Amino acid sequence: MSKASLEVSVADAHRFQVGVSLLLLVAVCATFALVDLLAQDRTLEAWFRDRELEFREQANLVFPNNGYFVDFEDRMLLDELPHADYSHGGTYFFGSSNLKWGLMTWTLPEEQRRLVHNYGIGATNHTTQFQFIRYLVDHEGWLAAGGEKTHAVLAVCYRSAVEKGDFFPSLWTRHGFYSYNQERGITPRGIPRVLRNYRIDRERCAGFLSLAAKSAWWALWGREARAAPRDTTVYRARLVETIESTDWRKVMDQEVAELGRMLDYLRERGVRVSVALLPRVSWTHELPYPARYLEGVTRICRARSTPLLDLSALLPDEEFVDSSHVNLTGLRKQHSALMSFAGVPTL
Amino acid sequence: MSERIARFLSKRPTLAVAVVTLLAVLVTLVLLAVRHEPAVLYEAF
Repeated sequence: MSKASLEVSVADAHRFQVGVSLLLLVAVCATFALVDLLAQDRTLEAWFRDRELEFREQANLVFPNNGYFVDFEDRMLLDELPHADYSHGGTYFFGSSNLKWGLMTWTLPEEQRRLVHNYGIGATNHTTQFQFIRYLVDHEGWLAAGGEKTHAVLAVCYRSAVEKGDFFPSLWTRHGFYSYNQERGITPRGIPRVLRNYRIDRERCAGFLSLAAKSAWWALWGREARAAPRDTTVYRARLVETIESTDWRKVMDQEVAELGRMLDYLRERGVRVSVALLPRVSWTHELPYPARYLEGVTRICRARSTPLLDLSALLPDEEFVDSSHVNLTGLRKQHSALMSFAGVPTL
Repeated sequence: MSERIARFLSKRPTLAVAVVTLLAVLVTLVLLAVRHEPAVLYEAF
């Protein structure tokens, strides 16, 4: 075929190429913008959450409340913290994984959702929880309304006194927004706002597409899915082996002392503080660790007249998916108990 | 091959552009879905 037979002049061809290139650029940008717009829609997010709740309830799994992010912590750091309004105070729950998967803050009425926050972070010990609180005070203006308008509920468990806390540093440094040092704790890095927002939007978009695909899978093939029951013997042996591999009494005493320092730090700033011991399965009641921890926590709370609520025997074993994480039935009960204990904050 | 593409483009330019645009949208969706997986994720036990 000759060039003439194409009946296209060189000038026409250039115009065509430029036009197609621009069209492709617009297609790429419009796709990103549309996905981003959909991913920011809270109504759509709530719809996906309901689909996931349905699936996880019938499959007897924990509900991770990740939103469109890779885990609960990413959602909290990239979505909840930047939008938090501390000017009216509120109720803030701190703890480890059994707290992060143990509250249903999304079910609260709108005006309470602004004031009640679940700031649980998985695999934390009291040292790292204290570092998180200091970060909130020093860099996020957590006590902007004054300590007296802020209620900190420390939802604790003996595991937080024997946890090595290796996950915590990697969590804060994973996106490059913060630096972490064991002595200095968490420090924000000077990332330009545009770059930061772009990275967060990319994470949100990826999560949106992933959750859309998962929701389709749950609707089509997820009806029969059910988590295999865990072998308690193996599970218990692993837990005991992990704890016994350290000088757990010494570590626990240090962590309980750190919890005491955290209470003092909050009380010095006028913050109302309460402590709740979270539910756990019955076989853990025979272990020596929870008893020693309870004794230590009771002692430090009593010395400071801090309210202490023991919920460790609140739930039957069938409402856990492992030793401390609750399924949806347990979640509703734990949420209700913690909210009753904390009280309802008002503007 | 290039001759066939050229002939197709000259005969059905709108369809060709639509196909290429759709491919661009699909590639963008795939790239958006690729997530930066953190090195360490919390493991419950």
